[in-house]
Amino acid sequence: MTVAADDVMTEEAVHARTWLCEHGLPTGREEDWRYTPVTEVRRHLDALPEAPPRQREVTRDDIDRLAGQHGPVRIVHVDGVHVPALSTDALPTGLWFGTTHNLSARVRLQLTTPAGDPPDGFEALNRSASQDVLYLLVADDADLREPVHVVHVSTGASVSHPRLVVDVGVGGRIHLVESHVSLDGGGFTNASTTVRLSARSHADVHRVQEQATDAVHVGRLELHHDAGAHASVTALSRGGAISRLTTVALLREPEASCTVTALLAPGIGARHDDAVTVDHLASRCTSDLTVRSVVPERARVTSSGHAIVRPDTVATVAHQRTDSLVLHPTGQADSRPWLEIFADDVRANHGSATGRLDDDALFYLRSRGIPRAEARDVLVGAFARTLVERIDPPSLRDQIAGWFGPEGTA
Amino acid sequence: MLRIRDLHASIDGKEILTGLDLDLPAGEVHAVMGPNGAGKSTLSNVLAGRDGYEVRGTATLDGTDLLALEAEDRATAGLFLAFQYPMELPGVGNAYFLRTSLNAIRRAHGLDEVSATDFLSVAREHLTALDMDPAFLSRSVNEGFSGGEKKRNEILQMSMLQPRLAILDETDSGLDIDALRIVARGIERLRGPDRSMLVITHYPRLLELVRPDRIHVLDGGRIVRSGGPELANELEADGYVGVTDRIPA
Ligand SMILES: Nc1ncnc2c1ncn2[C@@H]1O[C@H](COP(=O)(O)OP(=O)(O)OP(=O)(O)O)[C@@H](O)[C@H]1O
Ligand SMILES: [Mg+2]
Repeated sequence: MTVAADDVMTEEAVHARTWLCEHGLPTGREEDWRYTPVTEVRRHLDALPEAPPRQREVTRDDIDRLAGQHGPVRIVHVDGVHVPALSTDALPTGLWFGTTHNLSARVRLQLTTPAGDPPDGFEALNRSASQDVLYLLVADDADLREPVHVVHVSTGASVSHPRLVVDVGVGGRIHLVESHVSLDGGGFTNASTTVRLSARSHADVHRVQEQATDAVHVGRLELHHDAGAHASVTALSRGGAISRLTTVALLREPEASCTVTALLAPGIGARHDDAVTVDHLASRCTSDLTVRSVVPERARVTSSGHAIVRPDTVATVAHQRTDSLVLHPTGQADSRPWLEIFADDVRANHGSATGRLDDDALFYLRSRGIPRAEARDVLVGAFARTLVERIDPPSLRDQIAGWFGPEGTA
Repeated sequence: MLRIRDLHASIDGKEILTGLDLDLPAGEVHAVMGPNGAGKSTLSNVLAGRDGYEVRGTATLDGTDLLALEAEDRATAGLFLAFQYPMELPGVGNAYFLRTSLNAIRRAHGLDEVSATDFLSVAREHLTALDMDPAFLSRSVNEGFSGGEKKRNEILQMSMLQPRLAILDETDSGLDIDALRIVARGIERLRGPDRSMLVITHYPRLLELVRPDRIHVLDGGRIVRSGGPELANELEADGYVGVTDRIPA
């Protein structure tokens, strides 16, 4: 049987739209959305047109400048639409790339897994409104160590719904760098990425949110693990007046594991809400969540770590650690661990700490001639450093180190 | 060089320096001795510009009013304090710290910054002179350093920054015999007609290796006695009580 690609998508989109009509967007009363300023997000969404009135042309230089260059393969999405002219043609063996409009029969077969009900209204909106879904397929046992860089550009004051689906075959491996940037301010990005990890596969995902300071960003990253699959997620966020990132890892089969690391560096007065859920649905699954946030004047960061351990599972490990550095008395950091453990054989712990800049350390630096502002940058850089050091590729590591001063503190 | 007159310092309403006078001419090394809690570290901190003290009186370095300057500006004016308890800075690389410091001071004097490579070769020379393992450069500042290693790291900073006025607050405490010699050598190397040093110590041993021009006894927040190097022996024999008892109130 042949099904037109558009039909496959329409089905998912139609379902999502129906769901959205019935349930609507989150209101902020839902447990999952309590710490996101949903009313402001919705107001921003309502005020913007779906498509930019006159799209500014995006050049390769723009992409280099905004998102950097992090691997031989680059795929560019502008306001939710794939732009082949800015993307790489040649792909390494074992990697297949397509969009809604050019799905081959082989790919279609892999993607006909019914998506089910959307977990929330933003995801429903993304599914129903994304015009050009990007698909990346990694063949069984393909070992793609060089990063695949997917760049989503918002050109200005409009709404975009970038959507990316990654399917990693049995024993396959991919290193994905996903960048979200803005050419001009004022945009609303409602992004969603799903990574399906077949047995024994491995995905390394670096998600960089560096949009304009007045942009609103709602993002979702969903991981589906089969047996023995491992995902390593690093979320790096600094842009946006409001930024919400939902990360969900479904460890569906035994011995699946994931590490989730988030580094949040909102601007002055910004709100960042980082919500991670790891669902340990099978035995011998492990998860490790590490969050660090740097909170300036009037900014507010909330980091929630929700770990679920299902009944009848054994040998689960679930760790969480959140540290915040609050730079100003008007900054606020909240950490909300939420453990739902329905099994006995579990090693779970969580810890969190909120600190301010150490006056003694500041004095030590200043006593060596380092001006106060620079001394502060050095200490902030040092706080972020343990996470920054682990970032790969080095080009991205340098880019993120630059958030905390002109050069790293190593 | 350094001129202190009627210096008072209080913290939380408690007066710790109670009218201290001290003159340290250019090219000289003076030692400050005194019982625990006398105010020696307080004097160092107040001169280096640590926040939290209520300060009265004057302290000038080559005529510049030190007390009016921010801590970082005192450093660029040539003051260096080797801390009694050097802070640990996890995540801040030692080499980066030293280079940032060196460049901040050079910038303030209108000099070009040194590049990372030039810096490293200079730093290596200083490390060798202090018999320090170059691995110290790649570690976080003082993190996990032993007590003696922290003190040596202070001397490394001092020898690289080449201050005009160095205050060493018990840099000899906790050093093994060899390290003490190395630190003494570091001090001797820095000695010169344009530099002065204030060496705070409890032990005559350092003063045998580094012959001070004068020794001051600090007690109760002021200098209660000053004399030549021989004062160290007198202190050793009679203790602070013996020495200060003979001073009319
Ligand atoms: N922050 C503070 N609050 C209250 N008292 C303080 C504070 N800092 C220092 N003091 C007190 O001031 C006095 C002088 O302390 P300081 O550290 O200057 O002594 P010191 O001469 O360096 O002693 P030591 O030889 O033990 O190093 C002590 O009695 C100490 O307890
Ligand atoms: Mg002391």
